[in-house]
Amino acid sequence: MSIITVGRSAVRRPEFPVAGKPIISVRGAEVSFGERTILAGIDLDIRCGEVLAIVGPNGAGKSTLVNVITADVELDAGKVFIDDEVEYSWSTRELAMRRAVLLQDIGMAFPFIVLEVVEMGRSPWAGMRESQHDDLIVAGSMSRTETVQFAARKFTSLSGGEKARVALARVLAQATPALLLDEPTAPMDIRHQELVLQQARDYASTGGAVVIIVHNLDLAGAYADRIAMLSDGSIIADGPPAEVLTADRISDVYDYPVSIVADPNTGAPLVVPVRAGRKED
Amino acid sequence: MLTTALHRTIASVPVKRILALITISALLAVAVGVTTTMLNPTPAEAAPKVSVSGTPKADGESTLKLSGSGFQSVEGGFGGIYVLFGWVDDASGGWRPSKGGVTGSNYRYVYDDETKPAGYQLFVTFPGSSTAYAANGGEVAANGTWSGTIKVPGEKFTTYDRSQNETEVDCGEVQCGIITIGAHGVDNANNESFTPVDFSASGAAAGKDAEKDEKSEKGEKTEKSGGDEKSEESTGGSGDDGGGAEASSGSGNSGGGDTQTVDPAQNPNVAPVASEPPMSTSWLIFFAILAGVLVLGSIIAIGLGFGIGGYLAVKSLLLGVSPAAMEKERDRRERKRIRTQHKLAKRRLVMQRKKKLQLAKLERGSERAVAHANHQSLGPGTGKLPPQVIAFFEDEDRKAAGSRGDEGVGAAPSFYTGGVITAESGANSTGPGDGGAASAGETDPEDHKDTRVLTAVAPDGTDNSDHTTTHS
Amino acid sequence: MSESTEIRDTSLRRSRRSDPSNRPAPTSRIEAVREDGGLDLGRIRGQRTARAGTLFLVLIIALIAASVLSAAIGQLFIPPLEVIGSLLGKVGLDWLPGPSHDFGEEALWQVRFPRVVMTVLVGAALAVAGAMMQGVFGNPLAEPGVVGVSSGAAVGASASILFGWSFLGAFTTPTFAFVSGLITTFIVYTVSRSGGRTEVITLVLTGVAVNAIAGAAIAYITFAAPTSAREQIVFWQMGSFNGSLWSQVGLILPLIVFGIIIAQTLAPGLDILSLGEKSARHVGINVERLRIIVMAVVALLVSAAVAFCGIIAFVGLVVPHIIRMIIGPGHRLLLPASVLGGAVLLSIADLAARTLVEFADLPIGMLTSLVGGPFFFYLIRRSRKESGGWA
Repeated sequence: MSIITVGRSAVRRPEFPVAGKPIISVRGAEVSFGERTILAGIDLDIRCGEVLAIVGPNGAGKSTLVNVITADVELDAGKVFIDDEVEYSWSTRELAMRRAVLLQDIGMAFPFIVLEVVEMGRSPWAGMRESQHDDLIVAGSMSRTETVQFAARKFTSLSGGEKARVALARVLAQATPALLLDEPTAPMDIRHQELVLQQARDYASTGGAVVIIVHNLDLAGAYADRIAMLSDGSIIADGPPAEVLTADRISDVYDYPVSIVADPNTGAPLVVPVRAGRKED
Repeated sequence: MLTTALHRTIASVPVKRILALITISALLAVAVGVTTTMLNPTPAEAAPKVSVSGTPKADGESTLKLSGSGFQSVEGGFGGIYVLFGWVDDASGGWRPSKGGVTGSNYRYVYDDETKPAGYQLFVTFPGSSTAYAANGGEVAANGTWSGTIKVPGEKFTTYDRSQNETEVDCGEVQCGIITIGAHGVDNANNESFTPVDFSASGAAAGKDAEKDEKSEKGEKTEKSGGDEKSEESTGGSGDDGGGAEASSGSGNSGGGDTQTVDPAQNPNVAPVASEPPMSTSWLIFFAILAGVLVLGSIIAIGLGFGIGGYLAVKSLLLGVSPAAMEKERDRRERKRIRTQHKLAKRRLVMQRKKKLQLAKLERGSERAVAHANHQSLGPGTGKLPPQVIAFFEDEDRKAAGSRGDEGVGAAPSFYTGGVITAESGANSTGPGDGGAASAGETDPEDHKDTRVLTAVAPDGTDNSDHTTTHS
Repeated sequence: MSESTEIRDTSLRRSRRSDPSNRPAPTSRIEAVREDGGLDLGRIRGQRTARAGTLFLVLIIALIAASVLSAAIGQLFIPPLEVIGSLLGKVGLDWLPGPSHDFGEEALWQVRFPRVVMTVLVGAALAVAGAMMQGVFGNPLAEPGVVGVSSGAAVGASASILFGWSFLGAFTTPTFAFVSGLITTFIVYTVSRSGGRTEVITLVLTGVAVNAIAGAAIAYITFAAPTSAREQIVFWQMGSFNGSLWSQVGLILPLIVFGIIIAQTLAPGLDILSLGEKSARHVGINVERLRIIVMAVVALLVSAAVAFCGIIAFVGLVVPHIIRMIIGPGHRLLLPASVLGGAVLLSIADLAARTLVEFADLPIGMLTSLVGGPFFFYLIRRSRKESGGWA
């Protein structure tokens, strides 16, 4: 890699995150594939020290929004700013130092062991002074995702949920100011869902910015500091969970009647769909 | 009307594309055909042929230029080809070493001085052969050709018979010629040949060799086709007679004896050509076909134009008569116009989009350069991580020691110590291979007071949690 | 943010299942976890290093043995000790006696040693090229031939043989093979690009199409060639190390060494490519640039390898796969091990080619295909069984 990247001194390092400062900003993003408009004018700020949950029905454009932020999809109009500069002014490596992305597709072509996979997350810092923390960070992220016992096992031999946790460990190991997680809890059981969201909160406490796309509105309501609800390509609500998760709004956006109940332990809003009871006594 | 008719028939883009494709494939086919003709692959059993240019003098030394084709060349093979001047007893092939012929009895040739060769014999070597240094006739190329010059001592020469006795060969009485055999005693039927050579200023070589017949047949064909060619050129495609042919070939003494005799010595032009089908003929045929195709094509195009033009004329006449038909026609034209408008609009959109993207790309490039130059944090940096990040990654066990999990309400998360920085954390942990967390690896004495408990916090502060003091 | 923590009790009970005292017996061979539950990096890494070290040692010994035997065995048998003696003698150390036979020294230095060195170089080049191809395509079944290098090189070589070109002397055919191999790879790559990105599947399919065209061109050249040239073309396509010269070695040695060095610098990037193209980009690898460089290096290595020796297939498939099975897919170790493994494999193959049939030199491409073909079958079956698809 060393011969095909710029010299190390020419790589620009990210600043330490400052709470409240928007580390990623999307301004006027528009994306359309052919005739269909996927995103119509999105304005979004992702601030350090907070967990932002992006929710919305299928096809609302959540994944496209994340793809826009990670430059996997070309914008038709608008700009994305990362760490105060326009996104395309950073090189691939510099972007990797600022934001870590966890996609839903976590397959691997070759049977690396789990430890090697997590170590891949440290790759943007290879050859730089930050790599002195590699061992600490790798061990820490593996213990936080409860994947230490798999360290010597082949990644391809794990179950779906275990693979997802290892991928999360890799993303955590990147130690970037911003984390983007696209449905990280989809293949996981209850314990590990809570674990992942808990780790996301802790990460935000250290000053990072965490963006999670979730389908499960309860999780969003419980752990997010802010929720952005997407519908048909635009953000229709952006604020704390109590504000955003109202029965009217959710019923309208998801086209299904729901009611909101307060969590008995924490008071966070829980979304309960209206269901017909079973035909029993 | 004609132009509009033509314009309409060939107007649509897909048709244009198809025409272009057909033209390109036709051109390709022509190119392949031409290269095949030019390359002229020799048949699998190529007979070796030698063409001789020059005529040996009956008295005194003379030089003949030889060029061979259709020979076998073996890369790195042992030896090569000997080219000799002499006499064979049975021109049908019985003289050949591969058929048991023996030098001195079946064939005799001019000897040369081994130490100071005068050039009466040629040794053409196989490329890469071990005896290549001795070759005075060049190499047999991979395509089976070679060339060289050989000296002929005269009409009469002395040679040796089977019992090493001297004997004289008189080429005036027997047919001499160029003999080729495999070199160094290697019998190679592919490289054995005999090409009769006649001396000048003598009556004739009344040859009755089968090989000579074969050769002269070819010569006759060449004569005829050569004559055809010439007369066709002069009379522009009309028929011809052989009279002109004979005049052009100019073999004066061919009348005597065999009608098929072609004297290669007097007709150097004919002989070399005889070994290959003449290139000029196939070129001509190719051009003729091309011309015919072009003429035919233009006739068809004109006919089509007129035909379609006429059809359209009649149609408009009819339309003028019937209002219903005119109505239908008008609708059809209207719909077509709308369709093309849509297509154009779509195309315009696509082009605009492309242009916008290109502009955007240019913009980016310049912005990128400016941003890079302006940035402050270039340089090697210190590699320090913010302390809370380090704390995040350190082992949970250690953090448990510093947390206040027991009280429940209002506790900070157990993994996070807020601003507390323990002494071991920071940028100094440099233990590769021992697991950085091992620096604090002692089992936490507080472990039995497990602080990570799912506590149900009642508003009044009592907690009905179950402390698991041992891990069960 | 801080206000929400007050309502919330954010403690999480430690998993009873991951508790060290009631953990099930470890399923991995390496005990990765210490007694206190922490990660034992040292032990895992130590195991990995030990394995790799053993493999390298074995390969080096095998390479030396195969080379010495290769130099010793032939029409003129020279005892291995004399071979070593001759080598040492050239360096100035007279520890062992040189060859006793009159022409032994000559035979060694003019015929055998260039052949041995050529075999080692070509084997190394082909194996490394194969390993890199598999890394870039993310598929253990990828081979350099996929991108059309071999068939492109064959077209160039056949054309030069057919038309009898020799303006560069003996180097005409190899030069044409080299140049046309590079051109074919370049064509395959540019044709399969769209919008600045290259899909792997498009690359493979384009390679198939270009291979077909090149095959047609070769067939046409073979048809149009006179008998002697035809034989030469056919033998070139079967591959042979016969007649290796020091001048040839001198020509391809810098190219192959350069290629292998560049390959090693690409190793970390290739590792990360296994995460998938998108994820690799998110971790900071410039995927498109990496792909271009890998293709160029592969074309360089394979063209240099086939230029003088003809087409030798399957070395790039068999060697990296076996090494992956032994030391895992990490490219930092895989590439150097492939260098050694390829050299050993081809040395043994060349030895077999020379000695299996008395006084004849079997075409080595035939031997490697004979072994490689069934191995390819086995690989396919294994891939399908293991993950229900292409692993």
